[in-house]
Amino acid sequence: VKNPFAVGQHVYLRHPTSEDAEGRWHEWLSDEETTRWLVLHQWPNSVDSQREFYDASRRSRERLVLSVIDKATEQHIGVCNLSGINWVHRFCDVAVVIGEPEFRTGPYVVEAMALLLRVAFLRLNLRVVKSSFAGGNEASQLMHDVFKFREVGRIDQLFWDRGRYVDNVIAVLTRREWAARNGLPDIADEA
Amino acid sequence: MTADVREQVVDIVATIVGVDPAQVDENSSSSSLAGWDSLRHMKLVLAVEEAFRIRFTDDEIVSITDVRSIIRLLARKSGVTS
Repeated sequence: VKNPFAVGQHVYLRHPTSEDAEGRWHEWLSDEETTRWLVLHQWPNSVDSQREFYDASRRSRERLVLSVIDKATEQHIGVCNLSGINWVHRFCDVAVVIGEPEFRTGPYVVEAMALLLRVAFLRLNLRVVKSSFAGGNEASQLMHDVFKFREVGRIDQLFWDRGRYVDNVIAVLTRREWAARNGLPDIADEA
Repeated sequence: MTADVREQVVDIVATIVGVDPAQVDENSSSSSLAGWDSLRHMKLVLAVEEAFRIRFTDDEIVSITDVRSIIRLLARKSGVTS
């Protein structure tokens, strides 16, 4: 485990490195299957684009990008982020992508999300985590159900998916809800 | 933890993963059952929560790796030892 920011049983999250940006990361964000549900990634990605994103991200205080690392192999298997962090109102958006196909089964994505929520609520003192995903994305829907996000709205048929339009689902998880479920009532604050 | 609960968990796992309950025992896991992928893992978490009217914590969700771990969690949450 090298330079960990958050450590779980199977994965840990750490600051991305330039080696990450120059490795497989940029390929994941060009891959048709990986990007199917990533609304902002419908254009080919390149090493240069990934380096630019990495450079911009490491200076940003509105976006926390973390690499997802398999503890057993130290392999960079995905990326997750808290974006649109608003330090006045203390909310953000959340996203997790497991790029390496062999790590899409197993506990990796669920554990990365659990670690990221803990970072958002406990370390960064954020009070609302928002999420936006495509209505036909079963994996995202299940992930949000597992972590008890509440659906708060939909924009009908906003996203194009292989020949059809699907809804944009908007969901939120407050720190109060998250803390209550995780047995941490003392931090169940005003959210 | 009663045999009834064990059977219920085995039935839930078998249904979600899509195998005969006879193929599922306490050692069954995502490694031993081909259909136990991450999508079905999340379905399994939700199905167990619904069946036993409980809510797992994030740590508990992550700790579910096999049938035995589910049964242990249920025992701990209900205060009954196996």
